[in-house]
Amino acid sequence: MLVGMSAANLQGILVSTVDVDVWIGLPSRRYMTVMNLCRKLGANVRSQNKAYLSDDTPVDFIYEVTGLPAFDREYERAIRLPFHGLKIPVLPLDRICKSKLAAGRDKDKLHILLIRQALKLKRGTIGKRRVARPAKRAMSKPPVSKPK
Amino acid sequence: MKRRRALLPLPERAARMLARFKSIRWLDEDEKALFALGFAATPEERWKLVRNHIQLFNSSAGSKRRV
Repeated sequence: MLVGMSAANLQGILVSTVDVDVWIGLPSRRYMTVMNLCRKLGANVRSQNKAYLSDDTPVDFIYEVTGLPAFDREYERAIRLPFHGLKIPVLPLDRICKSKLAAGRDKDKLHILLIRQALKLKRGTIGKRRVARPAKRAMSKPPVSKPK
Repeated sequence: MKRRRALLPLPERAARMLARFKSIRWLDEDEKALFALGFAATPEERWKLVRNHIQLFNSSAGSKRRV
């Protein structure tokens, strides 16, 4: 699942990010499975969790994300976006913001601000949908007990 | 079966999106334009925009690393 600012980028936030963060739903001790797959795909493996793809895109593999529950739970609510002819799971903006808040790094402060602005804009303008409101029922007045 | 409408060019879509943000007071015009471009683009286009931006600085993705 795509996480980090590259995931935010795919959801409409134009911000530069150096590498692509991919959250792997495996325990970190199984990093060799991922690295072997990278080698098969012709990537240049640099360390346990970093590889450069054939087009020189740096990819970071993450096995645990600060502030978020287990992979499976997040994967269920991931957004599927069309990319390079595939539908890839992407962590929603509010979850990216949550993980960045939990990490508490200085470099994330601008990203958090941008994500919040984007979410506010989406809710305010793009996400406006006509929601059918339930018809107002005539409130039946409760019987008033007459004073004796 | 639903027919897919042909996608308008990105600048046109961005302009339409920007028109939606007209009433927003809490963002500068520049910021509005950037968000409008981001929201109007498809994921592929967004990716390209960012990669082109990074390549301008010759800093990362797409540029040949010096060994």
